[in-house]
Amino acid sequence: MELDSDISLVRRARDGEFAAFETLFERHRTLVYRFAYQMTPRRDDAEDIVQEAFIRAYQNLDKYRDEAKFTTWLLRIVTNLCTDQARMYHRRQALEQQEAGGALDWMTVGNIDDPVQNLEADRRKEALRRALAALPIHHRSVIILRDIEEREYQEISQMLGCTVGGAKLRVLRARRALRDRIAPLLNEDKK
Amino acid sequence: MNRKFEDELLKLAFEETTPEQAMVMERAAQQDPEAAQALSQYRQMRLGLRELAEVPADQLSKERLREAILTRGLKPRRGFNLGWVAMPAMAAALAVVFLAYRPHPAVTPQVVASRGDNPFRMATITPPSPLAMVTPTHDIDSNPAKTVAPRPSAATMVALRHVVRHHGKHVPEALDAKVKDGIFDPEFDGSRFAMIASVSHSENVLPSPSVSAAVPAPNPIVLIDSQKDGNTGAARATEVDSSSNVVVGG
Amino acid sequence: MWLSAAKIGLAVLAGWVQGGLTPKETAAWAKIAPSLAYVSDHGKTTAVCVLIDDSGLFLADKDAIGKDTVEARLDDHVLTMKRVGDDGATGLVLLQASPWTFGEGHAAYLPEKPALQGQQLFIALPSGPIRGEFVRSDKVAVLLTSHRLFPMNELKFEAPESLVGGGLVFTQRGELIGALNATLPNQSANTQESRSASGFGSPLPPAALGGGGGGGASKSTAMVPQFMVRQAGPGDLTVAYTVGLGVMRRVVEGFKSPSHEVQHPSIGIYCKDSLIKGALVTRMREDSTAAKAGMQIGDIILSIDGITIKSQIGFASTMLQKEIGQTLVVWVLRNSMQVRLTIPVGKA
Repeated sequence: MELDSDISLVRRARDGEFAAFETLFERHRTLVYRFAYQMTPRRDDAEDIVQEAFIRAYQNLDKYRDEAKFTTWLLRIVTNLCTDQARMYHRRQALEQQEAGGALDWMTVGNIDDPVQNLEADRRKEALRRALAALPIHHRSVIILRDIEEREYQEISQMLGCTVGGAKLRVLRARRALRDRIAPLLNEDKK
Repeated sequence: MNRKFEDELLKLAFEETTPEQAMVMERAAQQDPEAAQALSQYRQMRLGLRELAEVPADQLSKERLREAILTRGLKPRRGFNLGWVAMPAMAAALAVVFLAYRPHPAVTPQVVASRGDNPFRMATITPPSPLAMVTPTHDIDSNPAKTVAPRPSAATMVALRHVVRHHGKHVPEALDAKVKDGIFDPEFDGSRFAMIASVSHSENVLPSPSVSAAVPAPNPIVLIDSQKDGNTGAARATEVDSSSNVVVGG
Repeated sequence: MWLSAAKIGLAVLAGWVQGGLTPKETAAWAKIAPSLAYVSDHGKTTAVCVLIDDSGLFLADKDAIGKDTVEARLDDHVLTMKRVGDDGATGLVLLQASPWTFGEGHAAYLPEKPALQGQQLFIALPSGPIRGEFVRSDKVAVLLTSHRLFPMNELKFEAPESLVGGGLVFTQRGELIGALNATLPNQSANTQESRSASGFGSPLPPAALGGGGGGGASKSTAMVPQFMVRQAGPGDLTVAYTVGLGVMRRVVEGFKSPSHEVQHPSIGIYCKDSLIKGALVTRMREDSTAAKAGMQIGDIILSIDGITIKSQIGFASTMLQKEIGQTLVVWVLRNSMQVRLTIPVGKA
């Protein structure tokens, strides 16, 4: 049950009630943090991005309108911050250098039901994470939203500012891109 | 395997096909070892992605946020949120200022016009104007003044200037700007809908009626006791605003 | 012909004199009355129950009925009612009437949609019907006996002189809304909604309606009750609750099933507010689906199927929407780590 809607909290925060904004922060920080962590999988970076996202949201509350969900708006800010960060620190290049090694780990894992293989499972997870991190941000963000955070296409479409069909297409393209990144390994596996 | 078939396998692996399609694809994959292997790998990819969902707990706090905001001395900008009463007066004042500073029409008025698929209304602005600090960029078409629709209202002018000043972009282009430029644009984020609304309907410069509507009355939770109310013979109900100590099963 | 017209005129006049009952209300009540049986104990009418299935299955409030086997009257038939179903979560019971002839009485039905604000209602009491008014369908209540959370309908009425607990609520179209589960104490009955309404008493005739299906009532009075004028003017405003339509539907369907068993979705845990975020798991049944899926006491539920859980109320509300057999993706916070669990929805 929602005692205070996001919109009413935004209005109160706009009117100077900081506690209302803190409520918004408490309500949505986990969602935003989870997304940020997937976008830049270092806890410290993710926390900084979340904090910066809320600061920017606070500064720009007058720009928020209730046609979009507040969380959708927040996630867009996070996406932009992550893009900005990647550009600033040339993370992409660094990650792409790691990609080959990361991708090679992928699919080299045997039976992960065996507890002894847990370390291998962790390695595989890390490899996939690195392959994902090497994707362009527009691909990465939709894979995170759809395949990791399990968001509905409707919400993804709102965030992207496109139709539901458009969102499905973007997710498909992103999956293709991820598939292509691990394709050498898939081929290795076939041999 | 062609690419289209691979895409279909991807959809199947991510369970985004209809049951009928799934049956057909499963059957096709069973008959094609290569497809079966690809399907298995895509499913593994999906599983792997799901496993990535585990994230360490954050160490964020509202105190940390508050400190950061206070340190920077930030306050939320109020924008046009000045209330219904102030807005016509403000619009009129801006119109007067605009007229006062309006240069002699030696310069051909620039036209901000809609493309076919966006909700812009046609309107004029007359640069250079102290109100239009940012000249519209490549996204804004230039057309001769004679093509311009009737003079916009003062409110439309205010809205339009807001868009031009803050964005300097055609709205649909601005939608993609976030990724294209790779730069966070706080003016862009979330204001997209507002921009469209404010330009397409000048009256929407004013606070939206839906936003201005009264906040619905809070709906307290009812606790129903096993004790009977002696006056009614029914279980006793109590309305509470906070239920933090109530244990609920499910 | 003139005689008939005069009889109708007298009947309408009699209705008006006897409590402002309109001909429409009389006709509405005539549709409901054949569904009702009145439970009596030592000659005194103590409860009312409603036929929900032509096979002689009646629904009633557990507390109003009391014993496992009771005697009841439907028109002038005396029936033995035996309890064959019990939904502990809502406090409703199922009674099987005997001897029962198929087609005796008219089974009541639930409405397709929740009633509307301001809609006029009948509340069937042992002493006869009273009028009520529907307020809202979006209330949420926790039943402290079962620790279950349910959506509730709120209604209001002028308090009659008799007790109302266990009364059955109907629309004027004859649809069953539910059993009157609880009331607010009168001193707090002026809820925000009540205050904002344009005067509860004004749209209704001042009289509460009494009499009717009492112990010694004849057939004619049972079918068309004597709506007696209250002597003391409008009564106190009483705000009451019945369980929401979705839950009522589940109860009726469960009762009408061969097992007469009502099943509510559950993963077998109890939660309280975690103070920071989510719902804190405080108790868990050993054989629950949650326990089998690896949930632990102390876990904080953060989300279910992508829906953020902000409190234990949010958890229970979300669970209400689920179907038995469905699989939930539940994120919990455990030892500073977020853990994903897959939990099938069981029954409670």
